Amino acid sequence: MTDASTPTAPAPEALETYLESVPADNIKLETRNLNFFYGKNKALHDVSIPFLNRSITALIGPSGCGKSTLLRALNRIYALYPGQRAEGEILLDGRNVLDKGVDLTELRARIGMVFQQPTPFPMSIYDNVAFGVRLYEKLSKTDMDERVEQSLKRAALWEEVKNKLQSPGLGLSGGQQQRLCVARTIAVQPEVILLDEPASALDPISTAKLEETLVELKADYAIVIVTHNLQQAARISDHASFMYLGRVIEFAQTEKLFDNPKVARTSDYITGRFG
Amino acid sequence: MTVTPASTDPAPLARKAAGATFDPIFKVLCASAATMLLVTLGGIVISLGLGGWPALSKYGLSFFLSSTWDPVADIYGGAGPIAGTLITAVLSLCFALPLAFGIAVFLVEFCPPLLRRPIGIAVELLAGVPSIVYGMWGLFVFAPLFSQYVELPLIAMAPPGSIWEQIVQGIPNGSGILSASIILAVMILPYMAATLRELFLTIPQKVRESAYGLGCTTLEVIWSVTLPYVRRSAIGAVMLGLGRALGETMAVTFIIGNSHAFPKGIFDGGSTIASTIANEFQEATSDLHTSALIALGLVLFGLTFSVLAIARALLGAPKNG
Repeated sequence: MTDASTPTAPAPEALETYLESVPADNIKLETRNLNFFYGKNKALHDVSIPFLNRSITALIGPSGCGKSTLLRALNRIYALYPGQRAEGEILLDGRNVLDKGVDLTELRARIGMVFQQPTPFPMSIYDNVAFGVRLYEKLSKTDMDERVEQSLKRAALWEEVKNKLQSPGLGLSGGQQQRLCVARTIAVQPEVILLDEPASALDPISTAKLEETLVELKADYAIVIVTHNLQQAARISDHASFMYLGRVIEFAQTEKLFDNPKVARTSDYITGRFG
Repeated sequence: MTVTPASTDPAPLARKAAGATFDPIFKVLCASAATMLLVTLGGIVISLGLGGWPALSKYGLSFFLSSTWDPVADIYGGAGPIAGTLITAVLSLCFALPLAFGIAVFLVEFCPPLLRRPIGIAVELLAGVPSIVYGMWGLFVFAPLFSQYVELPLIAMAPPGSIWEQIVQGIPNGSGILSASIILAVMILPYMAATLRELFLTIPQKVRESAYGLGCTTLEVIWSVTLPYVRRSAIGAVMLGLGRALGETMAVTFIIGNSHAFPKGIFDGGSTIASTIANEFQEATSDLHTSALIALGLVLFGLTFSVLAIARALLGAPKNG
């Protein structure tokens, strides 16, 4: 085991793992030397990390390590707030989304996001799912019905709501609301789905359903999930990245990262010695 | 340290007693303050009712329908001022609402942080201008300009015999129903803008982010998510502005033209309940005249009260309920 006297820099072992575990032609989204600033505070330091097609990548690490910040940089949702900025490269299919000319609405249609707290819109269940679709596509009533049903089914919510599609989305339970948000996100047919601790407000049963949903969705999407729940990361992800103090410490296939971490700090975190 | 039950410990009891002696007195003081408010309100309603009763009982329903207001012949019909009040209030709302909405959206969504404070302060200052100042400004500055650049051209442009001509009827001297409505709009604007802004700020940041995260443009976020979220409360904010517009006196008195006839067009002189009372109370010689004015006051009270009650109900109602 390497010594971790310089814990904020990626150890060479981690980079090795990085290289061997990533088939280059399968990279959907990738950051290169990404730095992120909240005003003068630097929150991400030279983050380089790949996200693969048809794969779930988990971002783990103690609070404040920059996981959510990284996620929020990927679809540029941070751009809503003046003073927050990103430097470096975020490549979506090889194109840098940090470029000036990038159409943010198109980018966010391609990179969907689900938040920690369920955020249904103040409208019916049906409209919640159809809302995003209507922004981009003009579908006939039948097609839209089908899309809504399909999305709700994939989010494992259809059985529970099929008889009350017109009732308000805010009337659902927390777990149902969160799956509604997942349905809303996939209805737009994005290419990447970002999830920011999507299960932290859910009970174990809802969490299990959500995890099943994610594993099924993996067949079509690149999924990035931020989670504090290490078991969850181990259960569902294919790749995992341990972050600490705004840096990527280690990136590897999930099994390798959990069974045989190369960096001492990673193993400390995974075994619960800190964090 | 062990926890002893309070009853076995004399010291805390004594301290509690010292504070407790004042508590009932404090309660009575607070209760009487609240009672005084209710008594005052009740007194106002009763005295308005009693004072207005002679006129109301004499004219009955025609007090609200007849627009003959003739103090010389001692005949009083309140339709002119009542209609004037409603028309100016509603018109001013139509002018102020889009502007207030724009200001609120700008402050919440677009405004660079550096400008946020100055604009916020400007909105507050606008709310702080005394209504008499608005009245003077309206009469001496706004009215001549309005007459020259709006009323005269509009009247000249109106095709003879059209509905347009009907609407723009009146003497183009700058004062009248429309001028009063515009001044009123400026007066209620800051209240509505401030309330709407507060409402927009109550929307959970994450909900807005999710909408943007789906790829919404700002307009789509506001239209489809923000507005439905605050719909009820926003109606409440509008009602608050309406309540203020209904009762506004001085500025309107200056610029509405003070004619008791039922207004024929938007440039025609008119009157509101408040302006009528302000103008005539000193000169009301007969008891019936006084009573008619008080009855108008009762009508205004009823109007404002119901608008404010609706606003309260909507603002206080739970979101999405």
